[in-house]
Amino acid sequence: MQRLPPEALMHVFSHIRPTLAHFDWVCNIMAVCRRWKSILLRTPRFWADLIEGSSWHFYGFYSIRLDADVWRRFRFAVVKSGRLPLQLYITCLDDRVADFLIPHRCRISTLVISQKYPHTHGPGINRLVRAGLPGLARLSIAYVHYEVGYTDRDFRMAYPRIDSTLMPQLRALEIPGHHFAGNTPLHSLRHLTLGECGWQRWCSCGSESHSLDSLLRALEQCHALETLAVQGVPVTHNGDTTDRVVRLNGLRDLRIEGTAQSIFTYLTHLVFAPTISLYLSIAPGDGTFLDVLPPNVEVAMLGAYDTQRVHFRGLSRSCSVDIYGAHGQEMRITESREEDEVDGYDRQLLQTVGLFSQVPRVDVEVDGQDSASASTLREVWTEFRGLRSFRMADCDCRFYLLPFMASLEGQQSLHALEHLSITWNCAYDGWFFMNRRRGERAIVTNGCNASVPVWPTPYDASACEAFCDLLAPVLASSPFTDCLESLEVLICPSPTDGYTPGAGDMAVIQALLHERLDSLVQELTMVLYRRRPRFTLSRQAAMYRYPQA
Amino acid sequence: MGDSNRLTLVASDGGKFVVDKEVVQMSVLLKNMIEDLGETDESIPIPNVTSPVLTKVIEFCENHRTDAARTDGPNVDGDDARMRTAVVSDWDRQFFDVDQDLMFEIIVAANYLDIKSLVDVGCKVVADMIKGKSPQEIRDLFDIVNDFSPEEEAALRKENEWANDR
Repeated sequence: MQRLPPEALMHVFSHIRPTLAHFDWVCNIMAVCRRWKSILLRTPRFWADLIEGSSWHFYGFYSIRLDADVWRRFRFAVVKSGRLPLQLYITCLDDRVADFLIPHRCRISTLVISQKYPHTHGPGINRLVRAGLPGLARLSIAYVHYEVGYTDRDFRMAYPRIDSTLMPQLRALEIPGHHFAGNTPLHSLRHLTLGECGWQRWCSCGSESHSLDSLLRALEQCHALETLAVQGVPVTHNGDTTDRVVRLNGLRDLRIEGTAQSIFTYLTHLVFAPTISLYLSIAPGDGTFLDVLPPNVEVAMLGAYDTQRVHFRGLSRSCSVDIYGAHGQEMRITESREEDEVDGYDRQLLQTVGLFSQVPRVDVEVDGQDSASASTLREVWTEFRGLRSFRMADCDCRFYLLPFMASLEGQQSLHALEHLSITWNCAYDGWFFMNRRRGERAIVTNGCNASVPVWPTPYDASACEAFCDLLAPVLASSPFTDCLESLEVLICPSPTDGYTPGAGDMAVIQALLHERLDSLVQELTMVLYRRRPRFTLSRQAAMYRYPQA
Repeated sequence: MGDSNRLTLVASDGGKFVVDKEVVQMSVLLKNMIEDLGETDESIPIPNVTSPVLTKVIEFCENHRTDAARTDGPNVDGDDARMRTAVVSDWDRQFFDVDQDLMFEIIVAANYLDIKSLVDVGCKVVADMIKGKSPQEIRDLFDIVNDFSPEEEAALRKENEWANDR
């Protein structure tokens, strides 16, 4: 070891990557021998890593003694990091910290600051920024402590002025939207995140200079912006309106989270290219994204959470709609829902379908039997004349397959359908299919899953034949007979008793399905899912795919 | 006339190794030498590296020859950071599963030949051996003599006596 030349030992130390939490590593290496101590103190990368890998809390986080240790270690590491760029993650950057950093300010490349009190911490960051940060590429400022009693002056001092002459290399900025203002161009800025300001609860952020118009005016100065995220930044106050429209030609990614009204406002005032990636997230209880989406917005991808039905309260509820290529290629609709969520989704789906019916290639994936009514499905067939793929997972066949067949009646729009995924959920359906085999056509359709008995050995040959009896005529008739290339049978183990078909069961099922359906489709696969109670199926949950490679 | 795509390296103990030029060029030192020499049949002496070490170095370069194209070009900070944060692969870890003397000789040779990826992997393996160990454990592991006086050791334990930016 002692034969290693100093530069190699420095290299070793530069791979240690210490953190404040492991400061004992520093002390231990230092105490090995004189040579190691000397070389460690001459390894700037080691100290720069210590700075970068740690969060530096300078106020009220540790005890006074520990705070003193942290402060000393920080200063020591900054000095020993030589001329390397500094990536700083600091809580409470006050005057003391600013004074220390000002001589090193040209090295600061990242500055992520979490502040507490505007009157004590605001002046520090302002002084540091006013001194100039020529190498700063990323700046993030947020206040984590909100309370009443601040003055307008406090709020004005809380955030520095974002000026490209002071930060000519700034590429990424994260700042509360209400404090993003300015009239000077930010030529280098590529990524902007406008966050929520907690002080909104107590005041209108202290100054009339903060308004929708001032925010838009500042956005106008960001000529090279590529990504913009607006997170929980409502219109400043009632009556805050403007005619200003901001054109962001270079924008590739736009994310807006907030109330329906604020999202609508931002979409109204922003103009962007149709190839943008757009993500909207609507706050609960405030309408659906469909209510706020301007009908002329052309998007390449849109993901939205619909929390329209807030009466679900504690239940998780997500509905995502991914639309790829209004100009282009394909669209996929995916819904995930808890089993006991009911009503209303049909309308949502139909509106979505109607809004983007111009998309030429569409994949629809719906989980949950509540979405599988014949009328809903008819609308899907009608609206999506280019429907390429249809997949319905986690559906009880009694409520899905029969309505599915009913919905096909008279439909001429499915000529493009290439791929069909059908759920065969025997845990629910075994009883029904067995009854059909015995010629009993009476079906209980009261819609209540709880009353459906679980068939003890559901996936047997008889049940499979019954399933094929139902499906084969569908596949053999128009429109599928001419277009369908692949069929996927999704097999769900029982959600209640954990029964999963074994290899023997699957061999029988596989043979029967091939015998009955092979002549009707070019490719037939079976997917055996691992199912967890109360979770809908997903592609990731697949256990086995048959035929197996 | 020999194969123009291969050349011969001669270790300090006289051992000869015929290697693809592409492999050899992972060493910045050898790459520059080849460019200076031009087309030649002369073998290249490596005076500071013994045959067992050179064997290992060539083994590493052979295994990583496809990486060379990816890391070719100026060494920017981003690449450096990526290299330092990258996990040592199973192959590399096994490669360095040798006795300590050989391990350090490989690092020294890689440093001399200027093979950045080998230096990085070697130093990372050593760094992983150091992490979390007490000073005495480190000394025992690498057979290092403690040359601090008791007073100096006591001072080292008082962090505020050395960790001072003034």
